[in-house]
Amino acid sequence: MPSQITNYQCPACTGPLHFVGSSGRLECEYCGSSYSVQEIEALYADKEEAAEQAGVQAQSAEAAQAAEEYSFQQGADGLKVYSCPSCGAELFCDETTAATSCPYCGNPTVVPSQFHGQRKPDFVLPFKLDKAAAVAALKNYYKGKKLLPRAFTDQNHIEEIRGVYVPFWLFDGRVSADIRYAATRVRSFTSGKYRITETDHFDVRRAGTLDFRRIPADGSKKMPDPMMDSLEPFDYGELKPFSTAYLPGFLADIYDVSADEAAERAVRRACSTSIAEMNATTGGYASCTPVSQRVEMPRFTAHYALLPVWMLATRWNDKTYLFAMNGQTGKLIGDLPVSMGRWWAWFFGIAGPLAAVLAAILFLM
Amino acid sequence: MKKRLFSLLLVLLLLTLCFPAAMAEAPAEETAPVEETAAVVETAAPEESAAPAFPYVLDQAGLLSDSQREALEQKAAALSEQHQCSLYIVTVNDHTSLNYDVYEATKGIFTHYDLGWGAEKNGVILLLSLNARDYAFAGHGSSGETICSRESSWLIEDMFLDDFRNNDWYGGFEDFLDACDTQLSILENGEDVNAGADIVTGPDGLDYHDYNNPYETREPSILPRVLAVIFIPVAVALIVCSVFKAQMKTAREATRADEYLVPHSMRLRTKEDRFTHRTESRTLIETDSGHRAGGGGGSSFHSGGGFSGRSGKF
Repeated sequence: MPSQITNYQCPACTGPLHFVGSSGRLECEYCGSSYSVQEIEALYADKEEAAEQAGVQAQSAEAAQAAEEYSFQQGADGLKVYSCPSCGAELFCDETTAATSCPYCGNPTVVPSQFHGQRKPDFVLPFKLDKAAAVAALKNYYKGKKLLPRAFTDQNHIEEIRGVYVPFWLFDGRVSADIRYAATRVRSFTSGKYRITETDHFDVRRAGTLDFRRIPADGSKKMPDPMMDSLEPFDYGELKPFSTAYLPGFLADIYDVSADEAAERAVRRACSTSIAEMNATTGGYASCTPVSQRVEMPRFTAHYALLPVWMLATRWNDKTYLFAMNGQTGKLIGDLPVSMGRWWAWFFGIAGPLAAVLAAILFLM
Repeated sequence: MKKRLFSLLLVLLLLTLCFPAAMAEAPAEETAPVEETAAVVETAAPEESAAPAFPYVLDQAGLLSDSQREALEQKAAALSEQHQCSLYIVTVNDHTSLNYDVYEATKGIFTHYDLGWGAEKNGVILLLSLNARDYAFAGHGSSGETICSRESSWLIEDMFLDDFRNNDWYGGFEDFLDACDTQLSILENGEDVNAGADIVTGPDGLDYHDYNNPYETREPSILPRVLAVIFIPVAVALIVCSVFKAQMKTAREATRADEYLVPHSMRLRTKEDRFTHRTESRTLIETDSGHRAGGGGGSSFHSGGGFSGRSGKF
C-alpha cells in the first residue's frame, strides 16, 4: 500500500527539497539543484495522488489495520500517527496537520489526503521571507521599546520558529445598508439686540450596497484571532492556485473553523466599514445622528486559502511570548513584557524635570 | 426749591409704594398732610439705642418672603450695631417717576429720613429699582463714605451684582451686608479697604474690571500654581508612559474591513434629505466693552455732598 504522506526529494540526489520564498523554487540543500513548482508538480503528481487515495481509504476504514510500515492510527487524544517514508519513524500529528517535517530525519512531509475534496484550498500565498528574515525582524521589533526589560533582550532567545501556512477564509460579499439619521443644519445671525440661532432639522436616509472582496478570517483555532488580524494586509496579487509543492519546508494546517463560523467576524467588519461609508455621504450637516439602521451581508462567497506566517516563540521568566510575522510582507506583531521599573523610571524621569521647570517658571519668574 | 420738591416726591413715593402695611395699620394717617408724615418719620429718626423707625430692610418691590425680610432685617440690625454704621436695603418697582437718577434717589432717601448711625450719620444704603434693573448704593459719614470709596465700593458691588443678575435677591442682599461687614472690619482693623480692586475706567466713563492689569496689592493664591506644578507633569508623564506601554501590545482584533471594500462599489439606492421643521433660539447680546467679563456692564462712581457710592444696572 502506498504511503499517506509524501516526501519531496531531489530527483538528482534524493536529498530533501524545500520551497524557497526568495526564488519561488524548490531547492535541494545538498546538491544545490532547484526546480520550479510546475516541474515538481509534474514529477510528484502520481505519487501524491497515490498518497491521497491511501489517506482517504485509511480514513474511511479507521478500524482496519493498515499496512505494517505505513500504518495509520487514530489516537484517543485526536492525534494521527504517520510513518515517515524516509526513515520509518512515527510522526505524531494533530488532526489538522497537513504539512510538517520528520523530527528524526528532518525530511519535509506533506499529507495530501488532508487536502482531499472540499478541504483542498483554492489558493496558496507562497512564503517570500525566510527564517533569517523572521529572526532579524524580531530583533528589530525589540528596538525602540522603552519599557522592555533589558534582561528580556539579553537573556531571551528564540525557542521555536516555524513557518506555517495558516488556513484562512477569504470572503466576498455585498453588504446591504439602510440607515436613517436625524440631522441638523444651524444658521446664526444678529437681529437688533439678539443673536438668533435657527436650527433646521432633517430626516436623512441612505440606503444602498457595498461590495467587499476577500476579507480574511483565519480558520484555525490554534491561531489567536487578534494576532492573525494584526498581520494584515496580505498582497492577494501573489495568490497562486493551490499546490502542495509550495508546502515542503513549512508546516501547514487545514481549517478547523468552518466558513460559516468565520464569516461572523468578516461580516461584522464589513458592516462596520459600510456604516462608516454611509455616514460619509451625509456631509454638510452640523450634526447627523443615526436613529435606525439595518446593515447586513445576506450572501457571501468563501474562498479557502493558505497564507504564510512565521510563528516565533521565546521564553523568559517561565512565560512564553508568541510573535507572528507576515511571511509575505514582514509585518511582525506580538505582545512584549513590560518592566514596571522602567515604567516608573520613565514616569519620574519625565514628571520630575518638567515639574522643576514649571516651578521655576511659575514661582521664580 | 429743588430740595423741597424732591422731598415731597420722595414722601409721595414712599407713601404710595413703600408703606402700604404701615398705612393699613394706621388708616387715620391716610389723609394726613405730606409734611406731617415726613415729620413723624423724622421725629422717629434713629437714636443710638432705640429701634429705628425706618426699617433696615424695606422691600416695596416684594422680592423677599417675610422670613427672608425678617432674617435680613435682623442681620442688618446686628451688623449696624456692631460697626455703628447703619446698613439699609430698599427695593422699589420704579424710581423713575421721581425724575432723578437712581443714585440721587438713594441719597435722597438717606437724607430725607435722616438715616445713619449716631450724630455722624454713619451708614450705607442700597436701593434696587426693579423695572429698570437699576441699583445704587451710597455711604455717608466717616465709615460709610470710606467703605464706599471708588475702590472699596467696587469690591462691595463685586460681591452682590452677580446675584442680582441671576435674580437671586436674598443672596444679593446677604452678600451686600457681608461685603459691608468685611470692609467695615478691615477699616476698623486699620487696614486698607481699597486693596484688591482690579478697576479701570473705560472710554464711556464707567468702571470695569481690569483683567489685563490685575491688582497687585493682594497676592494671588499659590494654589493654582502648586496644582499646575503637580498635575501637569504627572499628566504628561502618564500620557507618554501610556504611549510606551501601548507599543508593547500590538495584537488587536480587527473591527473594520476598509482595505477589502471594492473601490467605487458603493451604489446608493436611496438618498433622501427631508426637511422636517425649524427651531429658533434668541440670545440677548451682552454689551462688551472689552473690559468686563461675565456679561456685566460697567458702573459709575459718585462722590460729593457727604456721600460716595456707586450705581449701575444689574
